[in-house]
Amino acid sequence: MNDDTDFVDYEDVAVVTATPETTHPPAHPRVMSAVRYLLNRHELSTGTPIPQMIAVVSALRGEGVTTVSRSLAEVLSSDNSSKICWIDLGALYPSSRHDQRANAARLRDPNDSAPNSKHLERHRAAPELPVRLVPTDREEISEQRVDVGPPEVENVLEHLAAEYSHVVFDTPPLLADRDALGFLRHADAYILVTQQGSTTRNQVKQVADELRSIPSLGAILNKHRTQTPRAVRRYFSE
Amino acid sequence: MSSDDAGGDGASDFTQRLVDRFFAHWYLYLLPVLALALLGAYSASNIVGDYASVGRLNATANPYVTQPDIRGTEIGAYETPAAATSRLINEQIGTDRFVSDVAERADLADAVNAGLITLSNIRGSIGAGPAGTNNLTIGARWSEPETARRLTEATIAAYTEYLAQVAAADSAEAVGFWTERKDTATIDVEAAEAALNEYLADLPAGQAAAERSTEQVFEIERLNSAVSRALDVEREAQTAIDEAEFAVAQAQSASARSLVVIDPPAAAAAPSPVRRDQIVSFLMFSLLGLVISFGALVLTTVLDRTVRTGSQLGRVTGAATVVTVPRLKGLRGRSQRAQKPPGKAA
Repeated sequence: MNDDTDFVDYEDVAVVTATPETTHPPAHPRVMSAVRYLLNRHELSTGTPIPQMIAVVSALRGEGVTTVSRSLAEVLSSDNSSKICWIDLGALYPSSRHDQRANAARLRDPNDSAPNSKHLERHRAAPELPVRLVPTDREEISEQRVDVGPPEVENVLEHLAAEYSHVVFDTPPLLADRDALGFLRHADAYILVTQQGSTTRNQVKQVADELRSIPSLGAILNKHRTQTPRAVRRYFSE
Repeated sequence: MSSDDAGGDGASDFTQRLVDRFFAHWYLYLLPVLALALLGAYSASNIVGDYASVGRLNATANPYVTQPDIRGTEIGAYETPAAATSRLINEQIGTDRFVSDVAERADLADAVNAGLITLSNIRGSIGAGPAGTNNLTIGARWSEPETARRLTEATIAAYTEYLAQVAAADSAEAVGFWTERKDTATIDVEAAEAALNEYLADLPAGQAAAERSTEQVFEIERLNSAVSRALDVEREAQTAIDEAEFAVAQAQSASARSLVVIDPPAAAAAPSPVRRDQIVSFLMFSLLGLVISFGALVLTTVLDRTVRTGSQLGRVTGAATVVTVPRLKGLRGRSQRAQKPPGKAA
């Protein structure tokens, strides 16, 4: 594949984030293919439609949740021709004071400074950033954490559920940011992303146990790498 | 991308992780094998061929075999005379007394005392083994052919003497017992003769035998009787000694015939071939390297608690569907490219 066909832009996906979009990785056809397989398998095996609110979760940082969730949003958008909203929960609920201040600085960007509606503000911007939803009280974000489940979050979700066919949550690592766990009660299903050789089995099991009440669409073993010859792999797959 | 249904047993999963880990770092796990194989090759190249000297003996008349109960030595019913005799010889080689005797007979005692060689060196260089049902070989390997021959001869001689000593041990004990009795009897004879001579000397000078009183006659007869009894005991002891010594000679003669040397040991003209030893040495080192590598592979696999395979992830999470996504090398680079201002990106 050449450079132009390897990656996909998000012209049809609404993005909710407090960070510039360009810091997020683009969707990759291979990842999209994996996500598409999960969705198809779910529909075929259960006979039920794809849930509206899907959380993409991981146990630790850097496991590829953002890549997978962006790919999921793109697959849902392109395959179903529907409006999709992708929410970067990590940016909305930074887990460290450093992140809070960094995000607060971004939120104070002159381009974002004008709006301050009661709950959230919506901007039509560049094609690469079609929708930006900004939390209301920036000073609060800069000084203290925003608790999970404030009324404005509920309102945001209601608004998004009404406006979009699917809402994809890019969830912070559950074992690193416990606040994100509370937010997942709004999700209808989840996809667990695990990086090969990074997360221990106990950590993955802990996350799976915590999400037991939410239906699982499947799990993705990300950044999988093997040098085992194909013939040997075929032997184990028998 | 590949998909896995959740499942698979633990043993298969462990084997799969083991194989994956090996192929991921095969060079690390082959390193000990190669290093020890090289060490084995170096060790094999330093193996020098020893000179072997072998003597072939016949053990059909081994008294141990025909009399299994000699001094508690038991010969198994399944053992052939050659196997039993070889085992007994090797048992003796395990003792320092026997090996010291061999060293003495092979003129190596000085070297042992000087610390140039040890009894273990000698013990390791000699041995016996069956060569058929009745024949056995006693051999020695040494860096010098003449020393090897002497060691073989010394081993045969030392065992033959040991055999003679053991076979005649009972008779030898009888000789010692009767010799002691004879010594005591000799002392008694001398004492009785001294008492008689002293009594006779005390009698009046020139007194004829007919002139002696009844008391004097009785006393002289009593002393003569004492001398006669002592002489009888002495003669009896000597007879027993003769008989015991004859038994010893018989036993020693029988033991001497029990191991018949068929082919006496000779000095080898050329050292033994070392190819087999070299191969064994190389294989042993290589095998050690394999064991170390496999142990390290198992240990690192066991200690690795991370999720490595799709089936493992499916089992841990209980997810019905597991998808594996390969490592995408260009993803990070493309992400950075995506940070370019709008319009420049694809």
